[in-house]
Amino acid sequence: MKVAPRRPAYLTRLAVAGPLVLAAFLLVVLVRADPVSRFGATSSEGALSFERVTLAPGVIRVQMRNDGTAPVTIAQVSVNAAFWRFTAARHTLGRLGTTTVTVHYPWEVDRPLHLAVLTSSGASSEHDVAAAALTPALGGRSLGDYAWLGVILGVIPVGLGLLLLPALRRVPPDWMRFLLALGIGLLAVVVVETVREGLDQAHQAPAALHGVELFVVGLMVVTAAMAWLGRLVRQVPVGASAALPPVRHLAALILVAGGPAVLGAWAGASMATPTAAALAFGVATGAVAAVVWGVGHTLVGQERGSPATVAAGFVVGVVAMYAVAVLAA
Amino acid sequence: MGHLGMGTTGAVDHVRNGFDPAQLLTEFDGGTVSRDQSGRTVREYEIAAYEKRIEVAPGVFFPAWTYNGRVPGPTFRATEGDRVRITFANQSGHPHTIHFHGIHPVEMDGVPGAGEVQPGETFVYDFVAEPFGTHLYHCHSSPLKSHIHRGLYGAFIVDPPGGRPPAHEMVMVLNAFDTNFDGRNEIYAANTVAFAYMDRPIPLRVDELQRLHVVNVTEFDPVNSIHLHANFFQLYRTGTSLAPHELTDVVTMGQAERHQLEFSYRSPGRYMFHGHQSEFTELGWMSFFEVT
Repeated sequence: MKVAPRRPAYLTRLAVAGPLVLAAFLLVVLVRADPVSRFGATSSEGALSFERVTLAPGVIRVQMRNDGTAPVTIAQVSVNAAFWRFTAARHTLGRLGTTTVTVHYPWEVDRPLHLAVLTSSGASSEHDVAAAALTPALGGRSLGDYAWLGVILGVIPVGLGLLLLPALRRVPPDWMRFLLALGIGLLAVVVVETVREGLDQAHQAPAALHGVELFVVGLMVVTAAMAWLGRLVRQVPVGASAALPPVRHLAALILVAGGPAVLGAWAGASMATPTAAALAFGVATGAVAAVVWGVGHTLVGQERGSPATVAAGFVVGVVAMYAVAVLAA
Repeated sequence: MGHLGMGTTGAVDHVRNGFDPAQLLTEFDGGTVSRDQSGRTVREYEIAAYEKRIEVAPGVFFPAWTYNGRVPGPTFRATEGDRVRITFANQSGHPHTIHFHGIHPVEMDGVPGAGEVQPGETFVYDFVAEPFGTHLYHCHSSPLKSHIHRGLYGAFIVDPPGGRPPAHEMVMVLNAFDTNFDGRNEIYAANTVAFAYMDRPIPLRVDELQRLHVVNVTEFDPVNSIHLHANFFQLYRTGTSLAPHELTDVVTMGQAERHQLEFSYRSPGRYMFHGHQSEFTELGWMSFFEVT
């Protein structure tokens, strides 16, 4: 038998290190020389983006971010086409720099507000508030309200579902497949909604923060995490038993499964900027998509039956969500 | 006015600008005076066009095209019948003209084909000043909107041969700046700098006769106006008559319309005046007289 001659260790190391060093060198060249800039004029001034407008009685606060590569200087602020004196901790913002502009202005409830910022070059960045309203402060009382919302939308439905578990175990296979498909139908609509809203927020986020990519990152990370969690959960004995688990376990399960809805409500309430909202919607989309995947997995694992049952369940789920959306409005 | 409320934030650096609304208000350029063989007064002026970044509101810089580095350009002043010789050097990167409102030979009109000056070249506008009145001049090269709006304009005052009663005279060119070049003005002013006479009121004397030459060069908006508070003025339309046309407290002008206003204040105080398009007022065209 012929034995291949052993390669010296240093050659192996060189084979790894060589390309890495070259890649690092290329990166430095790209950053320093910026060869792409030869193909078009680069802006000499950054671009201001309105990240968040908050309204207190007689006061408008605007969080601004430099969305461009060059620095930008805030020179003047106008509200409804009138210059209005302002204060800001910083007037000149570097790349991705932020500051809050404060204007004492007698704004009116329900009336539109047109905000414009003139930069030192005379360029303007504008933002419209369709109907002015007091920005709710996130305090003890509102935290309680949001927690209650989380309980209603998360904890209680999960609890009801778990209580129904023993009954569900006795449901005939055809009906089980119908119910699983119904669940997928309901959740499919939720996925479409969170994608739409997430991308909408991503487009409002400063371009330099890449909202769409942030949305995708949130989606990917959570889908992966949920897949891993799902594997863990399937090892919990509760799913296997036809009887109701002990109350202690049940309560713990309800809290683990429904409790995050409370955290989600708090997080949603404090999502101040479109950037954060895009990430949060990515997370939400990932979570719901993972559940759809999980339910689909279970559905495929069921005994074979009529495809019409599955189709019917799915359609009923989608239509039900549509009806809820129309009626809730 | 305090540090809150309507107005701009900060202060304009007039020294860096090279001109100050507080000074050009009362600056009149009579040129270098001599007489020709016939005994006629000859006034010679030198003026150059060049580009300059000017601060039109605190911290807001506008890439202006200027006559002599200032906006508005110098206020030329002559007496009806004087011979006027204006040597115009174009030191900018675009063709420019000086088109005077007045009666003159058509070859001195300062339009493309008659007195348009290419970059680096010079032209002498030579004519007899008439009729008496408050007039204006501006660049008439194409595209016209750009050449006027960028700052190439000024007042041209022709006095009647017998003169007018002595008065404290002022000139205000009502202008505006489309700083983001979207065809709408962001900033309005009397003599270029937003709120210049609100932040530093114009000092006047009680009972002193005031003669204010007002020229409207505002672009993109059809009209501008001036309104005095707590007072009325005698209006001399275009300044072409020795008798007033009207006693009023507001006069509205289309672009290139201009008038003389005569008034005086009976008692001391801080008197407001502004354009009576309130949307212009709050974007810079708001002012005060400080009467003592």
